[in-house]
Amino acid sequence: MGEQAFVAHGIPDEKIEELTDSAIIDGFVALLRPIERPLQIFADGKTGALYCECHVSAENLVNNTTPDTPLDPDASADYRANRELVEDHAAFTQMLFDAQEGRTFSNIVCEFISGDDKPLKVVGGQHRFWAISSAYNESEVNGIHGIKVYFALDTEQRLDVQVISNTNIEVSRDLLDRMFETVSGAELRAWCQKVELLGKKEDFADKRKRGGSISVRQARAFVINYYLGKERSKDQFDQIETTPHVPKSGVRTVPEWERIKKTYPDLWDDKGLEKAGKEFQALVEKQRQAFVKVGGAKTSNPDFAEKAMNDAVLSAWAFAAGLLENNPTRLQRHYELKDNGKPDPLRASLLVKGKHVTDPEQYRGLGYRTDPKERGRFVELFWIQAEKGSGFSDRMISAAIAAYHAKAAILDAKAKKEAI
Amino acid sequence: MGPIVADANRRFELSKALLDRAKRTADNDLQRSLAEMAITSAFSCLEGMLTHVFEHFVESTAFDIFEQSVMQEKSIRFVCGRPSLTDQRFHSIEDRLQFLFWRFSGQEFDKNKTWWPHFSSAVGFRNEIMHPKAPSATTVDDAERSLSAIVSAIDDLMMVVFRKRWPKAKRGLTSSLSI
Repeated sequence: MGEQAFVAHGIPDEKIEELTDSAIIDGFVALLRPIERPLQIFADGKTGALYCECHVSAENLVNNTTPDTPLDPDASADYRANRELVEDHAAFTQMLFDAQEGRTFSNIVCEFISGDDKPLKVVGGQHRFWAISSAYNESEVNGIHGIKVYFALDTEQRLDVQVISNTNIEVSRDLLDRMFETVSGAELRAWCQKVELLGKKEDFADKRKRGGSISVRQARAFVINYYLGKERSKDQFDQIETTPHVPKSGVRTVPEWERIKKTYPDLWDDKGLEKAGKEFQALVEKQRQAFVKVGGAKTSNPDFAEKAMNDAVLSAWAFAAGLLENNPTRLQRHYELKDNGKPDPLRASLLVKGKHVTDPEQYRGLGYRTDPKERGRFVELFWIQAEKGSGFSDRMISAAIAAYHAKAAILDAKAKKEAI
Repeated sequence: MGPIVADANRRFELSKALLDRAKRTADNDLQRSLAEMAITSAFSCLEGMLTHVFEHFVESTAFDIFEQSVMQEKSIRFVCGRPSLTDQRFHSIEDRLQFLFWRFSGQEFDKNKTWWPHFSSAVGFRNEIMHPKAPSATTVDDAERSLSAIVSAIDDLMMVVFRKRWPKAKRGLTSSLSI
């Protein structure tokens, strides 16, 4: 008699008999060669599904496993349990790199169906499996990985396993940004607290929420665009590209952010940037205050109240502040915008009327979108306002939109001419 | 969006509604009158659009004085040796349209555009209506081809200048007005 293949815990006798008779555990052990012998087999307390948790080599895992798992192999063999692979997600890209460097993964959920060419079916953790597989196939990285394997599931049990394995609470990009920024240092958070974009001891938002804290991406966008504007402050405004940049989110390395930090190592002590940060926070507050209901904490128009925190407004405002750094008079007018508008500094009700002849009918007016066009339009608006210093008006908004499109058309025509 | 565009859009809708009404009447005189009105109203829309496009560039330093003279419809005169824009000087609608295509595409205007022959004919119909030398013989079909050509001209113009289609062109000659 050979080595005992498994030890059962809390499993009814008839099930143990079935497992022994079918030799399914022996088959699994022979193919996957788990580190743990004998295998410890448990029964799920809710459904009775039998499973073990063990560790196997990448080689044995890759050679015997498929992520192409049917929802129901008997009744619906053509329908798959796994979602599409999200190949362009930053977390998956990182996972692939990590796997190449020998990352060991765990809790890949599988079902063992003996007799198939690839008897181990991935039910949960297909991205981890692909990372292990590509590292093994491309670089022969053969680490030991943790798996949870179910045996002899009935239809109900299989569905239950597939559902719980594909239910997760999505990690927001804002949270990832906050984690990455924290790892790289506390300077941005400390700076935001200094200029009051964050309260004392307050952290960046972990998820976008109206009226919530500023996010890492927004704080980075503010700093980046201030310096982008400053870099162009000596150029002829109407002849240069002035579209603000919005940094990528959810990725570890943000090239423009890294460039700014490297180019301006003293940025955290830059008095101009600090002043801009404080002035912007004051604008945010004034905009919010304009819509506070009398005697209450609620706002009469939450959409208008948060207009300053729209990514296009925030990035363009910072860009304009940088552009005007060498012109104190106009910079002051830019900062005084917060005192000029009634009822609100950004005149949100006028912005919504701002449209261009080429805007589609569903365009809701200036201040709702955050695309490059919207950001570019806001730079023109802040620029014109700083020239006049009288706050926004209907005519100013129309002129700014026209100026943005005129500039884009001229730069495009110039590029075409130069290409001839 | 400026008031000129709002006016232009209004006339464009009116123009399409007039054409639609012309198609639905059996009265020959009324049909001809409505077709004529549709054409003149469509040209008014086009003129408004051209003015609006030119307004974008009035203060731009990227255009030389000759180009400014075309856009502002003024003549160039020397004032103490300096070329200046002075009196009103009109240019034909074809010239102004072709100028914009040339200026923003970097290439000479292509008269092989499908809408150009109908557009030229439409200019002829408009001149016959505005400066009659003989009784008008404008038909509903003439008006329909003219309006289609004007819609295509504006749509192409927006594309070449602003790299965006004219959203109103999507509806073709279907009017939101009813007469």
